[in-house]
Amino acid sequence: MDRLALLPALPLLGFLVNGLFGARLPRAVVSLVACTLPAAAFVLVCLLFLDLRASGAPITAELWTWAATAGFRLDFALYFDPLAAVMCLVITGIGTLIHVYSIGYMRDDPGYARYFAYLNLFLFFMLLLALGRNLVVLFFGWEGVGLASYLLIGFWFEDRAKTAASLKAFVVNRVGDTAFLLAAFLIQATAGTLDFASVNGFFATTPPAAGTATLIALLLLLGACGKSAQIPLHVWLPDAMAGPTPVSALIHAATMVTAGVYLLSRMHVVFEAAPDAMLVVAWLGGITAFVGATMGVTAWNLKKVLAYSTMSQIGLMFMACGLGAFSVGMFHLTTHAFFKACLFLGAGAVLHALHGEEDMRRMGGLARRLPFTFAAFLAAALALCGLPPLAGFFSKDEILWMAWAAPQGSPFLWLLGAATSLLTAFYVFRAVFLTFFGRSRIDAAHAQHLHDPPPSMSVVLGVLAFGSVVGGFLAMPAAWRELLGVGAPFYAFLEPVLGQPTTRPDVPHAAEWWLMLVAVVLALLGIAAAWRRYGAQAPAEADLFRPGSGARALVARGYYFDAVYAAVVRLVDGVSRTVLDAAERTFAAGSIDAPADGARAASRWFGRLQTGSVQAYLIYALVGLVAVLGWGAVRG
Amino acid sequence: MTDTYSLLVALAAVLFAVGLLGVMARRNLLAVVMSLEVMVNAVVLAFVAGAWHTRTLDGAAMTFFIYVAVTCEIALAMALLVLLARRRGSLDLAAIEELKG
Amino acid sequence: MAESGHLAAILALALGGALLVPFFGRWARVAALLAMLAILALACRICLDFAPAAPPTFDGGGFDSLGIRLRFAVDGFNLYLLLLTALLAPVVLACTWATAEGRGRLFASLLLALEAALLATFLAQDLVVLFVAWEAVLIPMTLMILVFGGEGRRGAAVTFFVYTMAGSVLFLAAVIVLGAESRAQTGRWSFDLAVLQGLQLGPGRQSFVFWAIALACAIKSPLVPFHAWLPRAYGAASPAGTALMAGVLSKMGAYGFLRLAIPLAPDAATAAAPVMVALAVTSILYGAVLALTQRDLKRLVAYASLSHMGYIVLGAFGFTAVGVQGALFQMLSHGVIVAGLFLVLGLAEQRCGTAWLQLDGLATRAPRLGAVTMLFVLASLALPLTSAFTAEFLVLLGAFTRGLASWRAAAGSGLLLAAILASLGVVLGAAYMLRLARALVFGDARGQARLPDLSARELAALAPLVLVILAVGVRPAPWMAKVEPAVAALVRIAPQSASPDPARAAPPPVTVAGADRAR
Repeated sequence: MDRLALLPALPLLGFLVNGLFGARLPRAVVSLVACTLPAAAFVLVCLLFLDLRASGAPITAELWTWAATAGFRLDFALYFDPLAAVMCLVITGIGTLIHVYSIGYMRDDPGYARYFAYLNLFLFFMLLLALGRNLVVLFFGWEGVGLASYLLIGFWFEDRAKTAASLKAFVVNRVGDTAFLLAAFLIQATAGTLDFASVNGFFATTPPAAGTATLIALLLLLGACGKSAQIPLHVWLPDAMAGPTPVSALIHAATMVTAGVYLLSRMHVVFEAAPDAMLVVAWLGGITAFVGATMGVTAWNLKKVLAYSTMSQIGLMFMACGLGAFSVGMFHLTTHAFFKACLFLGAGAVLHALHGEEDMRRMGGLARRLPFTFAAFLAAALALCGLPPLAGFFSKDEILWMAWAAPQGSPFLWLLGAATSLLTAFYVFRAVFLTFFGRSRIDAAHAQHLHDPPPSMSVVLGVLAFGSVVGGFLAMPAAWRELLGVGAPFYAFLEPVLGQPTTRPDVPHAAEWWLMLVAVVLALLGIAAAWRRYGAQAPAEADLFRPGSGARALVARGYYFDAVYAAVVRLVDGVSRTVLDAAERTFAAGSIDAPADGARAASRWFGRLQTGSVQAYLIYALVGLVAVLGWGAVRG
Repeated sequence: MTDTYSLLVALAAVLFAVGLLGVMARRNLLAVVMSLEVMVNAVVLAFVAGAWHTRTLDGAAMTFFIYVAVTCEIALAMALLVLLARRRGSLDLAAIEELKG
Repeated sequence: MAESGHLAAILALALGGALLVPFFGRWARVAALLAMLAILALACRICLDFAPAAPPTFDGGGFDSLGIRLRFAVDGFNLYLLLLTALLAPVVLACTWATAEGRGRLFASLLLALEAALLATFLAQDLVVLFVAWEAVLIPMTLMILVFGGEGRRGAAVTFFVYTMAGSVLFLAAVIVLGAESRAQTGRWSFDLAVLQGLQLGPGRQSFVFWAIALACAIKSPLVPFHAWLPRAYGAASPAGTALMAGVLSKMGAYGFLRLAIPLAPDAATAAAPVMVALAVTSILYGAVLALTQRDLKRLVAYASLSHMGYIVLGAFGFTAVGVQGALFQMLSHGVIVAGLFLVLGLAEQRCGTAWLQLDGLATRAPRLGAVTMLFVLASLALPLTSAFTAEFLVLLGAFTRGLASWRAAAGSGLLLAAILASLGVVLGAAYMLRLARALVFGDARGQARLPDLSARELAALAPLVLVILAVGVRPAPWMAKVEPAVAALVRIAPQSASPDPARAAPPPVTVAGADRAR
């Protein structure tokens, strides 16, 4: 129990030390503090994990009462159950790796200590998110990671564009957070508590009116969309690539953006009580997956391609959750964390070697110069495509199977997922070929000292690539399990919390093998198409730089989401500048100037009685006296 | 047929009114002060008439009080008049309107 | 009781200090600071030892024939405000120590006089004493604006004084009405709040009393549409003056609602709740939208302050325990945060002179100052684990639950709508505060000279504010326990018939594995 309370405290300590004293400490100490504390946290998580497996009972830590008044009580409490364990393992494991990677990546940056302080702060809040026992503690972490994201996207704050991106990320997230809060209020009003176990118990035993459950679920979905960059709150993610690449890897690929999936899984009983909402989740996930993939096809910035890819893959996770296969979604979260982080860190190695060049049109031929990076990137790319036996295959395949076979699934949903797979293979290998193959299009200025990254970075790449390759065997799809006679430890571990996904009884089991085959064929087709277009013959430079038209332009402009939102912001600003300014002037005029002028005018008018003539005053006095006497006489 | 008392009070009232008119309407400050005196005398007349009518001495006694007060007041008024005349060169009330506005 | 001794000591120190400090000559500032720190220590002592069952009181005698007694007490409503006032005075003095205004005797003694008047307002248990202190606050504040303010200070000071006074005229009428009513009902004049609360007023009279006091408070807080004095006064006053006005004076208005308007005219208050809630939400959104496009950072924070005050009124008139707790927290939190923001802007102004409006890149030019600015910015946008989040969360939760219950009971959807609209303030708050940060703290300042960074004195002055923000954000429960009885008394005025009973609805939390699965 104390260990559980210690868990988030470790990175918090790192934040405090590096934040307050980092500027004065030597680099080595900063790195040591920043990396050993997350590593210690990882070890702690492993120990807790073992405890959990041994005892089978979730571990709790009640720290203190947060609020207590009539009608509302909330404790600051932590909760370590299988779902939290999976999240924490991913967070601390990949987090530690990325901290180590950052030592090499940020070596030349003057804000070194500040960077690691923020990164540790992020870990602290992310752990709070995953360990929270009720919606409020989760929300502490939820907003906290948004803060860390804001600080890290705008890390190089001298650049106005980067600070604009960080502001956009925070405000878009806030919209989702408002929906989250409304959902929390609704839950409190309905169930009388915000504690997860109690809420889930309440919704399982005495579900409220279907409308209420659906509304709660939709609000939670909107909140999750904000954090996980799903349509319609996805616009911040591509801009968030302004931050350092390890940040993109950790926050915007592996952990923070997956918080939405975690939320959906955590509140799965609420969702299961609202099937309509689940349908919305599944379709929203599917559509986002597809749209994200199309945007990845047209992007030229390497990091942006990966950002769209993240958006797309999380769409698949949402789809899985919407179909009731929460544990499958969590599995894809885990495998995705490995290969996406590997892809981002590989991109980081490329950027590091090219001194900041991010446009793929100015890369090329790097496979020879950066062999290790290339190997890791390729492995992760293959995993992302979902080629067997790499990790992505097992997780993505299960999702596609669920899309076809789950009670709320349909062939159309599967089609969306399959099309996404095709496009995914296409865009990721487009990136691979443009970056690593062909003739070098690199600027002379950037082409100096091209070399593989230092050990601190390449070891991490290696570990992640390894994970991308073998991670899938933790949870193979049912068909494989039957074939090979093995279990799925991952799903088994999560079963007490998330249950088992169900499929429609009318779908034949053999269909799973056919769908798997189709998926693999589509992936290979995608790779082949990318090879034809970008790999076989070096694409003409003029072609690369020509702006697209029609559909291509539509996609490149992000389907005009950004344009619409920018118009809304301009509208509100316009209201502020014109309507409300006028209102302010009216208030000022009406309540200050008008009475003041009125008083002055009245004063001037009454002043005319002061003629200066004593005799006039005497007359006034006499008139008054007569009036008073008369009044007295009348009154008797 | 009205009795003496009523006639006396009426006379006092008429005198008062005449004095009041003088105070209100005369432009010369000295004339105003003189009209003021006429008003005072009217009041004294009313008091005396009252004393005569009730056959007491209270009203008659008021005469002394009033005249003492009026004398002091005239002294002050005359002093003010003299100063004013010296400063302005005239005693025209219409010219003294500094308290206007 | 030791605590009543503390209370007497606080008032004596404040008032005595205000009168005697000018005689200390060169040591006036030091003497004032010592007095303020002593008051702060006593206030902390009172807060820590506070037990609702045994509130500290101090009775200084009075005119029994007129029913006026100099009675002061600490209870749930003014506990936070006592702490806030005692805290902000030395902080403001310490932050302005090095400025021209801070060096003189006048500023220190005005500050002490202001503190004395504020403490008397918050602690008074007698309506006439409270009213006198309420008006007395205006004098040092107006002088501060007049003497130490910037451009347009004369007009601003007059506007501030007259506008606020105008609101108090009806307040005075209400005071007299209440006194007369107590005479009629109990046979003796009495202005003691406890006695007045026990009176049974007719509907017409209650209505008058409520609206009269509410008007004065709405001007003080301020609430839209009585806020027109705010941009002028806040803009013209010096940063220290603005910090005090926004930090403490505005709380007088909120306190007036909670202490006077609602308890003294409960039926009228319940009937007026929809109007007050509407005004509160209007203030929240109006202030927030206006703050979005302000170039002048002081005006931005001024409108932000207007916006955040709306939450207090929303919480107070939601009549839920949760909401009122939130309102009380928002009084403390808003006071600390907005004062911190204005003080930080003031520190920036000290370093740049009149060119401070073009200041940017604080993070590079004065990193510690930039970091502290960011702390206050983040606190202002209600980041969780800060006091503002606690306050706003509780207020919105209270409004929402009660609004939902009344909507379900077909008793009107106004409060629910208000809660939803007020939640939008959360998004807008992030937008304008981060714009402020982007304009002031971030930016390319490579070509510009470094500014003197935060000195130890300034850091020591601002640290207690940050501590309060974090303390209320991380662990608000102990504070809530202290004010619970007062909150409960207020909520009893408008009990909710259709509230969801939490004891019935929530099954006991189960921590055994498998609890999540549907059986």
